[in-house]
Amino acid sequence: MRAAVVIQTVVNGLLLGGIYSLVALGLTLIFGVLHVINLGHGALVTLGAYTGVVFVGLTGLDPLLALPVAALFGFLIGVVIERTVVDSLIGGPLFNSAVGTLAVDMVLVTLILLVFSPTPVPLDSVLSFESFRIGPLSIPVMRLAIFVIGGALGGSLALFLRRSRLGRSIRAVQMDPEAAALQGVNVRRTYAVTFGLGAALTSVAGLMVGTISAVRPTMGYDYLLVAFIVVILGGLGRPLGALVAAYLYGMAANLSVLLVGAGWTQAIAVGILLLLLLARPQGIFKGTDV
Amino acid sequence: MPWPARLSSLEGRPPDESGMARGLVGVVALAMLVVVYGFTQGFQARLVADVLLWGSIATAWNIIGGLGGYVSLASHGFYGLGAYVAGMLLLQGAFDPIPAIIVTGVVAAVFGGLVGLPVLRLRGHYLILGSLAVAEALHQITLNVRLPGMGAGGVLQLPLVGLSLESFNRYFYLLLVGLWLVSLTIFTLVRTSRMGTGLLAIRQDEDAAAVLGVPTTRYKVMAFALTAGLTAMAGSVWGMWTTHIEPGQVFGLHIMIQVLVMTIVGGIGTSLGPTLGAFIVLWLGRRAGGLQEWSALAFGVGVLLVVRMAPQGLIDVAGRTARAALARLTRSSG
Repeated sequence: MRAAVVIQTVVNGLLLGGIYSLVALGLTLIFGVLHVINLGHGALVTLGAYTGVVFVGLTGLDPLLALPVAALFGFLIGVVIERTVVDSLIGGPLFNSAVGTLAVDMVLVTLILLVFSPTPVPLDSVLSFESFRIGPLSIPVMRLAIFVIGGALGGSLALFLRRSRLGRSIRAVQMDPEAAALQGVNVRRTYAVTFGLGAALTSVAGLMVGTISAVRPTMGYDYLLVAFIVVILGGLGRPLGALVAAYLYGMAANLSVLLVGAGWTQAIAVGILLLLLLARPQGIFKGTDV
Repeated sequence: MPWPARLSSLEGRPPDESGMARGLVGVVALAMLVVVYGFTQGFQARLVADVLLWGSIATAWNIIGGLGGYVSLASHGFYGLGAYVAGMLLLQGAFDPIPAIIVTGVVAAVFGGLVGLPVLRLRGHYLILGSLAVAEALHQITLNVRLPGMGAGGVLQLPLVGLSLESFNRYFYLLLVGLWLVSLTIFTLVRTSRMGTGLLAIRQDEDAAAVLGVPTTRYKVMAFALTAGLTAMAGSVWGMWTTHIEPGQVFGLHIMIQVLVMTIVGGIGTSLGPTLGAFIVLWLGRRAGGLQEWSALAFGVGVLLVVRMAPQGLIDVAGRTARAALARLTRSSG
């Protein structure tokens, strides 16, 4: 195997990890803080991508310009979902949160199917087909952009959680909702804002992912499992952990494809998830002591 | 402590499954079976056959999920496993359908036990993900490994068992009746046994149960094995009936979603709730007919309403309503 191929695979893996990191950031916030297993995460990804489709249809502008719109819309939808459904699931029976979030997923995906069609829609940016070369390496511009945006959002999220007042109250609620309430934190509002933020991040992820692959009503399912792997690997509620985990996972996935063939990608993902859960459910980094 | 203190899947009062509600559902179910056996070709026959099939799967899930409180999302894995194992047994030519189904059930139960031993050490959210991964692993194996008898893409094509189409359908209809009765019997036996009490204790507080001497590992692994075996038997019957088995179909997550929805609609942890849920879900689905998307939408909203307003399931609602009506009746007459 030539060195250039291996290096290209590693770079591709890192870029793939960038995509995963973007998709997982919102989930680590939601899953980590609300402790509700959000099986509807994939639908939020899809929603963001279709926000881009609508934006381009209405304005004719580049989908990248829809990023703020997707974030805002995602936030609003997130707050609505939290208020109407997820709020009643927090701290309740696990079974109900699994079924409840699956039902949210069903409703969202069906709504998308009703409004749009099951046929894939392109969401191409001017940058979608651009790439540049560094020596023997070829780097697609859009994937690099996703990598950078993922890193930037992950970094700012970590800073936000550590430094800002709202971020600190989110972490307080994550650690102990009752104690946080006693300290004057509005717990219910914090839950809603957290879910909204998570949905906004996920919506942005969906839009970006849409620009490098076709937009389909079921596209979110492709990322559901991976997002959970990354979130657990990185430690719940830890944006920086999620970034590192996503990069590692992306590289592992691409290198394994190089070794055993593309058909096994999903099988390897599942194997990694099982091993991870059984060997180290607290994540590969410091425990979930956030 | 980042987790909520309690992770068990059910808290609070147990569902009210009064003898009356149970009797009512049982009588209606039996009456339908008898009536439908007379004309096993039409629309109603398909509906009842599906209710029996899904009722069995949901009842099987109810052992680990409803009694043990372990939210395992691996039923679609066991279902597909059953379809494939039985299909391959049939294709080898050494087995008739009924022995093939029994062997499949045993194989899947052993598999469930072996897998359950490590996987059931996980709790809460991690168990959800771990069990999903088990099912997906089985799916991926059929996609990537060429097992004997498999065509392209992991498809198994089985021969028709029996002679005419009518006797063929009737045969499998009876098999489904048997399967449903076996599932229900096993569930009831487990629930009324020492193991059932142990599982209920695990559901409420596993650590406390272990301290009090409940053999928690043995009980939950046994429950998981029973769930796996019964679900695989359902998968084997379905596979032999349709004769065309595809990985994406028998391992689809939609199977698991259906099972969860049916169980919560009917009543989790109750003996006839899952069957009632299967009936409601399938019947509504048939009524909606061609309006696929709208019915899926209404379905999702309906599930959300049940989760919010009647988390104990409709059998609980029926039980309480019946009891209240009876109380009013006796008061007015006495």
